[in-house]
Amino acid sequence: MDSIDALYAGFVSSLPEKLRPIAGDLPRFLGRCPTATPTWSQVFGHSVTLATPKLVAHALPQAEPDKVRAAATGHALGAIEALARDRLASRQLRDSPELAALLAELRRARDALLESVWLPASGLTRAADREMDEALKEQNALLRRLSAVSFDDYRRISLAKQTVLFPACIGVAHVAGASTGQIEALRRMLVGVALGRQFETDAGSWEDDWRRGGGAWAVSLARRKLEAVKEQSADERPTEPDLVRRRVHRTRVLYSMLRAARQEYRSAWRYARLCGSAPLVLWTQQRLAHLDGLLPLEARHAGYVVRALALAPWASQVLT
Amino acid sequence: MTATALDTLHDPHTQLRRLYASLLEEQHRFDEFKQLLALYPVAQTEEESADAREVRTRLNARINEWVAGEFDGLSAAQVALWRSIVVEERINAGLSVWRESN
Repeated sequence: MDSIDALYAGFVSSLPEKLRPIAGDLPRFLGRCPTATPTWSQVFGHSVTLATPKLVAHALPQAEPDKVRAAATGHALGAIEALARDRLASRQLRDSPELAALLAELRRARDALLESVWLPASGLTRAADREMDEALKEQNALLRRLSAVSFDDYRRISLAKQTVLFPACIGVAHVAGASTGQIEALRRMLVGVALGRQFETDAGSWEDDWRRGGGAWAVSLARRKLEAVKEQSADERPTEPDLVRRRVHRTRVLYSMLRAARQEYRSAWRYARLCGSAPLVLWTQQRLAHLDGLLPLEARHAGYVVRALALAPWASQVLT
Repeated sequence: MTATALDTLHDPHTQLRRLYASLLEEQHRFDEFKQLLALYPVAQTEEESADAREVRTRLNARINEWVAGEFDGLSAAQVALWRSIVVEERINAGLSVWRESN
C-alpha cells in the first residue's frame, strides 16, 4: 500500500462515522473506476502531484524530516480535496451534504498540518482556495458557453486553479531557511510543473471533457483561432462530434497546447536545477523527452495524442 | 526481397506495430477500427455467429488494407479480446496520467 493510502486510511478513520463511506469511496469516484478502488497514486498518476514537498525537500538539507512529513501529508490531502472540488465544479461529481462535509474535513486537516509546518501556510492556502473557486467558476462558465478563449486567459485560469498546491512546498522552504531568491525559484518551478501537466492533460483528454458536456479547453481555444466561425450561443453549439473534432484538428490547438506544456516543463527544469531538486530535474527531463517525441507526431497527424491515449490499454496488451 | 525481409513482413508483432502506427496516424482509420470492433457481437456461445464472422471478415479486410496487404487476420477470440479492451474499456484507461484534471 502506498504511504498516502495508509495516511488517507488514517484520515478516514478519524472522521465521524457518517462520512466514512463517502470518504472510502472517494478514490473510486475520482479515479473514474466503477468496479475497483484504485490507490491514490493510480488516481493521480504522476508522483509529483502528491509528493511535491518531499521532492522539493531533496534540495533543502536543513528541512526537518517531521516538518517535511507533515507538509507532504497536508499537501496530499489538499491535492485530493482540490481534485474533488474541481470535479464537483465541473459536475463530474454529484454534490451532497456528505461530500461537502468531507471536503471541509479535508481542508481542516490540510490546514492544521500546514500550520504545524509554517504558520502562514494555511492562510496562503485559504487565499488560494478562494482563487481556485473563482477560477473554476470562470472556467466552467467559459467552457459551457463555448466561448472563444485566448491562450493567455487559459494560462491565467489554469494557474489560478493550481496555486492551492504551492503553500506546503513554500512552507517547507521557509522553515528550512531558504532565501527569498530560492523561494521565488521554487515558486516558478511549481508553476512550470503545474501548468505543464495541466496543458498536457487538457490536450489528451479534450474529447472526454467534451463528451461529458461541460465544454473543453481545446474547443474554446480552437474557436478563438477560427476567425471564420461566428459567435454562437449555447444552444447553437455544434454537437456533431466529427465537426468539433475537425475544427480542433484543423486549428492545431492540441499541438499548441503540447508545445506550451513543453515550454512550462522547460521552465520547471531550469528552476528545478536552480533549486537543486534532483528528482524534479529528472522528472521534468522525462516529460520533455516524452513531448519531444510526441510533438512532431502531433504536428503531422492531428489528434495523435488523443488516439495514443485511447489505444494505450490495447497497445499494452497486444504489443508487449 | 530477401527471405529475412519477407519473414519480418509476416512477423505478427511487426504486423501489429504497423496496424498501431496506421491507427495513430489517421483519425478515420481509428474511428473505423473502433466502429467495427463495436459491431462485433458479444458471443453467447462458443461458436461464432454468421453476423460476427461477417464483421470479423470486414475488419480483417480493412486492417489488411491499412497495413498494405501484410496482415494474417484476426481470430474470433482475438476480436472479442480487442473489443473488450477498446470498446468496453475493460482495462481501465481512466486511471492514466492524463485524466487527473480538467
